[in-house]
Amino acid sequence: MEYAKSMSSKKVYLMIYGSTLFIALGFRSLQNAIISEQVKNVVTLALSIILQALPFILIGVLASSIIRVLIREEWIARFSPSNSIAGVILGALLGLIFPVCDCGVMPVARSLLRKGVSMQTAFAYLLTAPVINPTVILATALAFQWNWHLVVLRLLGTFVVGGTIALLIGYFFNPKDLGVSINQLHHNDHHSGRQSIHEILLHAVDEFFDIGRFLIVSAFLASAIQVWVSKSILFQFVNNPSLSVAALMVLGILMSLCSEADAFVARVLANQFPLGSVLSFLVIGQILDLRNMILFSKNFRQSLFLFIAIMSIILTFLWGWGIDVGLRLHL
Amino acid sequence: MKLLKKGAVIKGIILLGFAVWIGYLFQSGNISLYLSPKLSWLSRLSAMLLIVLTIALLIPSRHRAHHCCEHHHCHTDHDHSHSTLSMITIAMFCVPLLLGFTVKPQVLDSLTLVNSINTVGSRPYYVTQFSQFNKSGTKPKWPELNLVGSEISNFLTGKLPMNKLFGNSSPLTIPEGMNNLRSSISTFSISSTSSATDQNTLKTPAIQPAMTKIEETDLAQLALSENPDQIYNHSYRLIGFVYKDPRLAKNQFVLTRYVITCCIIDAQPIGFIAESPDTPNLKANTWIEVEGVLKKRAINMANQIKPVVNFQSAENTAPYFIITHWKEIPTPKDPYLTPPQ
Repeated sequence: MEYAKSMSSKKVYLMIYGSTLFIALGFRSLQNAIISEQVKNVVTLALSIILQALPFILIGVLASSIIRVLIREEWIARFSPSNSIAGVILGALLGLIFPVCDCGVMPVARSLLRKGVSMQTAFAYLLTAPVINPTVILATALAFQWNWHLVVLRLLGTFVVGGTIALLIGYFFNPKDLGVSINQLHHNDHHSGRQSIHEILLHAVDEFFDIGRFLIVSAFLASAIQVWVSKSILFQFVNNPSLSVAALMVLGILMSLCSEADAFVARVLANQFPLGSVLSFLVIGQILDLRNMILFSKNFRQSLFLFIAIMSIILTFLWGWGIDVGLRLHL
Repeated sequence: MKLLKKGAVIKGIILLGFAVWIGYLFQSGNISLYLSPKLSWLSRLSAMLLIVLTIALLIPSRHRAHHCCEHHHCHTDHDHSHSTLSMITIAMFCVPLLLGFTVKPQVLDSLTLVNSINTVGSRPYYVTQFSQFNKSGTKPKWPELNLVGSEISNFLTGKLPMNKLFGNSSPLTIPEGMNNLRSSISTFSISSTSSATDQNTLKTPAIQPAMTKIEETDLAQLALSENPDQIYNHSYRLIGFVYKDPRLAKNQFVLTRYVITCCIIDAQPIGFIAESPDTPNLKANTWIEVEGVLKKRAINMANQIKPVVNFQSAENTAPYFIITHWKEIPTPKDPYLTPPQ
C-alpha cells in the first residue's frame, strides 16, 4: 500500500516537473516576442480551464459529501441489482440523474463506492457519466446540427467502452485495488451517521484540495500542448482508417476538453477526418484524458489504472476503426 | 476561543483567494476573456461556494476531535481539515492565483492558429462550411484526398513546386478581371462566379472614405447560419481581426473571430476570406470593422481539397467578402462570440 502511494506520488511529481519545465522554457525565451506571447497564451488558456472547471468540481465535491450523509448503505444494498450486467446499465444511467462532467465525476463515484455500490455500477458511472447526461447529449446534438445518428453513435460508443471496462473490472478486481485513499475513506465512513452540515463542508474542502491539484497540473499541460504542439502531423494520417483513428485519439487525450465543449471541436475535425475517427475522439476524450489519467493514477492501484487506460484505448480504437472500415466497405 | 489549525488557515486563504480572483475578474470585465458569457453565472456560483467553504473552514469545529482519530490507523490525508497541505500542493494552488492577479489575459489571435487543427489541415477553417452536415443520414461518400497538410507546408517552404502539387491537369480558373493578380495567387485562390458585377467590383474596388450606417452583423450568426444560401449577395458590417494565411493572395486576408462554447480552450476560429486592395497595409491581428458584400465563390483546385468527411456534402465554394469600407478599431471588450442557438 505504501509502495503504491509512493509510486503515484512519483507520478504526480513527474507531471509537476514536466509542466514546470514547459513554463520555465517559455520564460527563458521571453526575449523572443513570439514565445513571450505564446507563454501568455498558455497562461490565459490554463486559467480559463481552471475557471471553467471550478464550479463543476465544487458541485462534484459537495454532491459527494452530501451522498456520504444522505444515502444510507442499507438502501444501496436493497436496490443494487445482483446481476453484474444490470449493475453496469444502472451505473451508466446514473449520469442522467446525477449529471456531473468529468471534472466532478470522480468524487461522486468515490462516495458511491464508499457507500458500498458495486464496482461495476460505480465504474460504469465514473466512465460514462461525463457523456451519458442530458447537457452533453444536447451539446453534441447542437454541435452537429441535430444529427442524431452521430449523437447515438457517441452515446453507444461510450456505453460499450465504459460498460465493458466496468464489467471486466468487476470480474478481475476487488475493492482492495482501489488504492489508499478510497479504502481508508470507506473505513472512516462507518462513523458517518451523525454528521453536521459543517462536517459535510469540511469534507468537501478536503476533496476539493485532493481533486483540484490534478486539475491545475492538467490545465497547464493541456494549454502548453494546445499552443506549442503542431497538429499538422495528424493530417498525414487522414487517409488511413487505423492511423486516423489513432491520431484523433491522441488528440482527444491531449486536449483534455470538457465534455460540454468537445463536440464543438469535433465538428471542426469532422471537416477533415472520417466519421469513426471523430467518434473515437469524442469517446476517448471523456474516459481517458490528461486530467483523468492523473486522477486515476492517484486514486487507483497501478494495475487498475493501467487496465482502465489500456482497455479504453483498445476498445475505443476498435469502435472508431470498425465504423471507418465498415463505411469504407459499404461504399 | 480555540486556535485554528495552520492547515485550515492556509486552505481558507487559498479558497478565499480564488473567490476574490473571480470577483476581480467580474469587476474588471476580464471574465469575458476566459469564459463564455453563458457560463458566467456558474463562476458567480463557484465564488459563493468558495466563500461558504472558507467560512466553514474558519469556524472552529466542536467535532474537530473526530472519533476516527482515536483509531491508530487513521493517517489518511482526508481528515477533516486538520491535515497540513504539503508545500507542493500549496504551491500548485498559488501558481494560478498569482498568475491570475498579475498576468493580463491575452486575447487569442493569429498566433493561436499557428499550430491549430483549423489551419494546418488541407481544408482550413475559412473554406469550411459548417452548415453542410447531412441531416438525412443518407449514405455518405468516401472521397479521396490528394493533398495533405505536409505537402502544403512543403509547398509553402518552397520544397514542393506548384505543378507537382496540383499536377498539370488542374487549370487555374481565374476570371479576366483578376489576371493582374494571377502572379500572386496561391493555393487557395478564389475565382469569381460568373456574375458580371463581381468582376466589376474586382476591377475597380472602390474604398469609400466614410462608413455607411448598416447595423453590425454577428460574424458567428453569418458563418454558422442554418441557411447558408440566404446569406450571400447582401451587404454586411462585420468586426473581426486580420489573419493572414500565406496560402492566400496578396489582396486577400481572413476576417476572423473566435467562437467559444465553454471557455477559450475550445475556441474555434470562424471567418471569411476578405478582399481589399488595402490588404497589404493591414497588419496581422489588427481589429477592423468592415463593410462590404458577401459572395459565394468557387475554390480553385477544388478537386484537390475535397473534404474527407463522410457525412458532409462536398462543397467546392467558399464565402468571400468584398470590402467596400474598412476602419481600424481597438480590440473589442468581448472579443469572443458564442455559437448561434
